[in-house]
Amino acid sequence: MTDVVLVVEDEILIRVVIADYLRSCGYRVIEAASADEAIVILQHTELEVDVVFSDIEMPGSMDGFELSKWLRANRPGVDVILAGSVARAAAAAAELCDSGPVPKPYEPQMAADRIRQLMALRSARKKKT
Amino acid sequence: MAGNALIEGVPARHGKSTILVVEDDVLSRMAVSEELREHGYSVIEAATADEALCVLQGPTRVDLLLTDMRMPGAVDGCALARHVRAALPFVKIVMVSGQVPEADAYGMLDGYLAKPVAPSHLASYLLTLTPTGLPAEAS
Repeated sequence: MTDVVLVVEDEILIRVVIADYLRSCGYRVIEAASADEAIVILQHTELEVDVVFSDIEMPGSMDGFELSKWLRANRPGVDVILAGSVARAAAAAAELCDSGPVPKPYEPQMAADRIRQLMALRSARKKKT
Repeated sequence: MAGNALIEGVPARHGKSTILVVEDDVLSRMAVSEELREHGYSVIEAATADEALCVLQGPTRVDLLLTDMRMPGAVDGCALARHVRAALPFVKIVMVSGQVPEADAYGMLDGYLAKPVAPSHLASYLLTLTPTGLPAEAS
């Protein structure tokens, strides 16, 4: 059985790159755009999530710390990884890949660089308009 | 819109056709996305039209937009589809809705699916899109 990782991240440009990276390492990756969405997934599906990989600061009724507390109380068997910055998220994803079914597809720095590049492009576009 | 408008020159993600799934209901989004991935598509998940625009305005190639019609926020599925049709003519658009879109919206779509959509029918449906369907392997 492939391990299931639930990625919880409100910033789509980060979520897409991290989820892609973890899929390349052989994980089955489920995506949630908020802690509230993550809890809906955990409560309303039969899915057995092995790892919750979450951002810390997120809009909605819960941030990453609160999600983490909820998981400790309600899903004690699930591992929780909290990553509060792009660099931390890329490094944590790489660590997870090391114990994954497929070797790391590329260096985590490339994932971090990709996220920064996408976010810089978006900022540049916003400034133009 | 820059970047994606030049989709013909943008390489496919992982050699696969990329579908941008836009749906605010996380369970529907997850079911549809997982099904499409199992059929070999590369899927990007957006929880809102704003998130979808953020992806579409970037350098990532998107071959098909699969969007819900009714969504919370400033931009709904129809407005998103209108925007994409004007700025990104190469992107196919399929709308999912509980009610048939109005004629002006319907005219800009490549396909329309009535809710509830059975995820298992989606992949075969995508192959029926004209003129060439959307095979999982990118052309």
